[in-house]
Amino acid sequence: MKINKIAMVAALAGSGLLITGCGSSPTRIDPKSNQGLTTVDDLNFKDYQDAAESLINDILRSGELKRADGRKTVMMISTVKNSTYQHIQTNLLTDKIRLAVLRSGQAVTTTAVGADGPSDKATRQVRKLQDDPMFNQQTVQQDGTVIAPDMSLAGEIIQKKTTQGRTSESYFYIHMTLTDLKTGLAVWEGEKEVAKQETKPVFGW
Amino acid sequence: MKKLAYVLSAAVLCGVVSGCQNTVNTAENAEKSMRVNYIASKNVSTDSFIRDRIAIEGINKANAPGGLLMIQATLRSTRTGFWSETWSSMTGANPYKIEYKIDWLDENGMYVDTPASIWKEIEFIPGETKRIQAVSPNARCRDFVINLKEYGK
Repeated sequence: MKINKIAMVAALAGSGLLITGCGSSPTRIDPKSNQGLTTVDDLNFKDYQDAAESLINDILRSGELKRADGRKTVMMISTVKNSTYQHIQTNLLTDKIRLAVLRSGQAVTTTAVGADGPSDKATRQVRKLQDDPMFNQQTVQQDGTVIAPDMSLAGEIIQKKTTQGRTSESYFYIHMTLTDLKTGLAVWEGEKEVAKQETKPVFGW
Repeated sequence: MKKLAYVLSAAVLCGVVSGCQNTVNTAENAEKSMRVNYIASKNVSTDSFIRDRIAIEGINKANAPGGLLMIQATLRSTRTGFWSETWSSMTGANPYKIEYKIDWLDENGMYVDTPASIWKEIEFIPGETKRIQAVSPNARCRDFVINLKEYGK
């Protein structure tokens, strides 16, 4: 009986060691590397980076942001429709594009206008100070000074899932458009495809 | 007799393995109409694995409409031929995956960060030629460095 107990304790300790032996302590990884996790059902951070890289190169190469009159194009960020099965932060994509566009010197982005309201409400809020006697009215922003956008960046992310036996697959289609707001014409369109596949083992997870 | 059997088995195995290889075969127009602006490149290779498997065929540049610099590097997998393909198959290097990252430098030699400067993976089937492209983050960037490394290293 005693020997049985000792054996059980030893077995538990052994399995405990095995379990902890499989783990790893948290480590920081280089976000610009390919060390991140890859899952089939989701867009992982590397996918956003790859898509942004591809779309940034494409939009800058197109030359559509450059205006003939020398003025910088003002671009607004419109809606990126999420047609996937996942909750997706589309900002992870659009923020990278707007950053690259701004740094290119060809365009500036407006935060005063957005498809779902302004991304920065301050532009409108500060104009409410026009009636506030506490503020020096000469320093308060006046109406009629905010620059309206020339172009709008919008898009859609679509996911198609397929399963065959133990193999599952996800296909993500990212499509972006740059619309000239004067004419309503899409002057640039870019796409990025992400396809992922995994085969589950017969046993285990 | 036994030795002969081993040698024969090994030869058959190699034949089978290389028979499973996928290589890329191409056909193209012989008389080109494109005018490519190739630029001289200085290559520093510290990884003999990549050096023996991937050849940088050339780097060319063009000006994008917005005044930005556009570059393209043509890379080719040199792992063709019976022994190379067999070895690649046995070591799991077919297809061969590498990563690349393009760094941009301004006119003062200062590194210019961009969301597009990330390690990207690219996969080669033996004999395959691929082209990697990038556009400079702004018009002040005139120089660049293409970094290559084996995937996951």
